[in-house]
Amino acid sequence: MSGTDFDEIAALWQESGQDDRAALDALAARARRQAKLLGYADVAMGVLLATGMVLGVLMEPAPTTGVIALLLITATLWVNWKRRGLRQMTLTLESSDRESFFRIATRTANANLRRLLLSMYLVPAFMLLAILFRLSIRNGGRLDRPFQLLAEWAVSLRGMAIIAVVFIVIALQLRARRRVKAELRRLQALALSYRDEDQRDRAGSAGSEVFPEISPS
Amino acid sequence: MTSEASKEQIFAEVRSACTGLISRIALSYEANETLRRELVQDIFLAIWVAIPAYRAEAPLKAFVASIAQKRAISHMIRCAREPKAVGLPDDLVSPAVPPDEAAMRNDLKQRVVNCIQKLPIPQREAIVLSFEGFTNSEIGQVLGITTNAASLRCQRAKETLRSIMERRR
Repeated sequence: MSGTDFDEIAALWQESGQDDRAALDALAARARRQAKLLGYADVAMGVLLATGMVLGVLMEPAPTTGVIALLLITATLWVNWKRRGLRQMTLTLESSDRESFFRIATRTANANLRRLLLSMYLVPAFMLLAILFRLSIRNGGRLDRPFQLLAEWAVSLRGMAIIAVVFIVIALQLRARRRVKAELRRLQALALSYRDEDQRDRAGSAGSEVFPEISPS
Repeated sequence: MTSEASKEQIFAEVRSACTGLISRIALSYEANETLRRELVQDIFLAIWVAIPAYRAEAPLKAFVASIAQKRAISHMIRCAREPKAVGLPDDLVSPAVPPDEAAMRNDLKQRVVNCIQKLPIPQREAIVLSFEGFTNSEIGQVLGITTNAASLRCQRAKETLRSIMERRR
């Protein structure tokens, strides 16, 4: 293939990917709306937490309170997840070269892995503490036969529902952890591929320094 | 610090001048149309987020290409799928071109895209920027390498592309 052939390939490339302009504009508009909404994420977090605290103080325990609390917790977790995603994306965008990009991406992936592992232990531990606390309140502040009380609670409808939810949460985190580990492996393979290219670039530059008259065009 | 008004202005400029560039960079990493559109939206989101860091004296195209490449690489790492050969839509070629020529040209374009998607990512980045009209100096700036390294990488990418296209003939 000659230089002209590559000019032709470049022309063919330029014609490719000409998706519907209106569709691309719509994607850009949607991204801008999403970004603007995420810009208010910090404020949203504050509002959610404040609302939760106020409701916790003012409202009596009731099914409605439970539903509202669940909605607030879900919203808080979602907003927090989005904020973290945005923060992690910003870090990689700030990298000046591929080496720092991979360093940041690897650090982020490792942090996500640690966070998932921690929550896999913390979620069941926290649930257990909360259940024991509630059981002790029901028993006048005493917890004489904790295992028996726990067993009785576990076979109740509410107990089984909560245990099922905890198992689902752990299963999802295990799956997420497997996914992040796979991402780390791909990151490492890609980083190696870039290092190989850098070495070839350096070898090529050294060659052109030794034989300057044969410098690549 | 970029004001909200100038952020909107820069984003509008990106939308008018760089949409094709973004779309083609996404195409070089993702053949699946649905996922490619998600990637394009992700790139636009990243550009919006990164605009405060944009220096007006730097070319906007280079800024956009740098972000698009990074988001595309992140997408590849997350999705871990080798691009499968997917047909390009038939309406890419001008209706003024005779149907048989249009079919041949569309077939060639498909081959070019599929072969570029098979390149190792470091070489893919360089050759896509080269085909987009970036100079070696600009390619070096986008990829964070020297101009000489960019030139060498583009050459190697062309060699690899040549051998892939000849194998798929």
